[in-house]
Amino acid sequence: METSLNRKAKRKKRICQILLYAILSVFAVICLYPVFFTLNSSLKDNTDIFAAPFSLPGTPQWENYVRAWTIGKMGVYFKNSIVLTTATLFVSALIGSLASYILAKFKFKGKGFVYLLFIAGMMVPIQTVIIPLAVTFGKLGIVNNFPVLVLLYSAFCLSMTVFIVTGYMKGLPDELEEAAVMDGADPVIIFFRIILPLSMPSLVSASIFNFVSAWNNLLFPLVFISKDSMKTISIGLLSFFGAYTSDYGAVMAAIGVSIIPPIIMYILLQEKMEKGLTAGAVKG
Amino acid sequence: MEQYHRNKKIIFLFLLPALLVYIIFECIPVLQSFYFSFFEWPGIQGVPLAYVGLDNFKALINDAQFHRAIANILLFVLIGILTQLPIGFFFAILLYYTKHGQKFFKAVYFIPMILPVTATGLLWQFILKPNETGVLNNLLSKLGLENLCTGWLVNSKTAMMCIILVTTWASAAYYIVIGLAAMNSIPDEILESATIDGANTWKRVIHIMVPMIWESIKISVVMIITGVLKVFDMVFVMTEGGPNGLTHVPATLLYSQAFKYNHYGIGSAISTIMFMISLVITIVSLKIMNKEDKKSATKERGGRKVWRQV
Repeated sequence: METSLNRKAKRKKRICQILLYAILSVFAVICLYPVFFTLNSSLKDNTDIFAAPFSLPGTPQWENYVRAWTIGKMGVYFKNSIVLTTATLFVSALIGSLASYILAKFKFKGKGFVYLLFIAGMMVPIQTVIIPLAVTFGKLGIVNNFPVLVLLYSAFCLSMTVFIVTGYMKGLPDELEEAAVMDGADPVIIFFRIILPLSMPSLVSASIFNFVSAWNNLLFPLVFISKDSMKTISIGLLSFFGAYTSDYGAVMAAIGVSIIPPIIMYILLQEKMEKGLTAGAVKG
Repeated sequence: MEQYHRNKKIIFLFLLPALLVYIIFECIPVLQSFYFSFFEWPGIQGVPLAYVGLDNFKALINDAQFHRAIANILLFVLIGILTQLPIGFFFAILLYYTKHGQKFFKAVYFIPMILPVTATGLLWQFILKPNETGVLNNLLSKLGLENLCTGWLVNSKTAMMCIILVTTWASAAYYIVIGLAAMNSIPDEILESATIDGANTWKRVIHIMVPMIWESIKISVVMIITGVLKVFDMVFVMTEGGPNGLTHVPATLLYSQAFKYNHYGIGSAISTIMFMISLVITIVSLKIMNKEDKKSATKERGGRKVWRQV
């Protein structure tokens, strides 16, 4: 009696398990197939893409990537995005963590207001500033100017950096600085030798979030970069897509070039990236 | 030590670079944007700004395209909440009960989220192409569903919905990760004691899990609303507001008014309205959360915990 009940329960459990994995797998296909389709098409020639969209490529057309990289200038755009994003991460991490140190540990009048001012930036849509900036930059003749763009990108990274890093630094005990202060060490040294290394985990979280938003930013380069040789990957991809609509293989390869780095980065930094991205999900 | 932490020189020097960059590139432009919404300016250097009072706002109130953009963004918010949230939390629950391969599936589900929006928009634009060149149409006709084939992004009936659902495809994973983190923070004993009391899985989910992760569900709703209100990239890449301006949202309308038609004043008025809506929603949701926070200060769980991990 009991064994048959047991068997029944076991069978029920087994069916549940199969059902569970079936549902999980269907959703996995929905998530992955469009990406796979793009990468698959990026290795086909034009006829194959339309004649046999679902089959694997006969002979992989690696030339598509060559065309995307050279004629499509994805190589140039890629390099520009790397330069712009790296500089932005460096600047925002440096000035953001300096400010966070003050906001976390020091005491002065108006501290609450300064902190709130930084945090409030999280709800400012970037479209809000685009018109005034376009007007001001137009007056000053600032266009295709990477250093200014780095400062602009950094300004929009600061809210998240200050929010995450200040919270973390508040948790560091004062005793860490105490000995160094007694010894009369320079504040700059205290910051770079003691505070900054200990705050790295929070700075990494903030930087991952900032990396994704800077790498993907479409609006700023759309308005402030007109020179082809300075375009970033997001607008470069858009203009390549518009100009070479008939060379589908190369267009797919260009999309491939833009999605492979984030995927590789995700594979390497999975946990950190999930944390960094969901931390900033408020920003939308 | 006390003295060190009050050193005005250090405070000033360390705070200055961030404050300068932030004020010049973010705070001042936000204020300028309010100011500009009371002026008209054709975007030509040397032409002075012309004060027009509330005319820009009045023009928007009577503008059918602006109405359409507002209607679209409301639909976007509504469908966004109705799809992203259930999909996210449903799969969070499934993953919570998945013993083997939890990490693998979570990683796969996260992939659409890390792709650049430009790439996501373009690859879906390709899939949704009209005629038989579109992959989706190709698939439908293979399945014998030719009558469903359409120019998904050209047809005014389907275009907006396609953009909204592609956005769901690209962001549902947020809520899987948030939901899963919230569930993992539920103490095992609580679920165990429920099992011993004879509650089945379904009952455990409804009566124990959902109340315990309620906080993170609320945070997710706020995140979807504030996130969707700012949508620009996906619409701009997939349709640029077309066909005939039917898929415009406020942000893309702002862009085309300012940079296509040189109506800088109208564009600024749109941005002021967007900012106000965003401000009101943020304050209201903070108020609601704080209230609940005080009420349930002792049973802090779920979402709040995710928040903390930040």
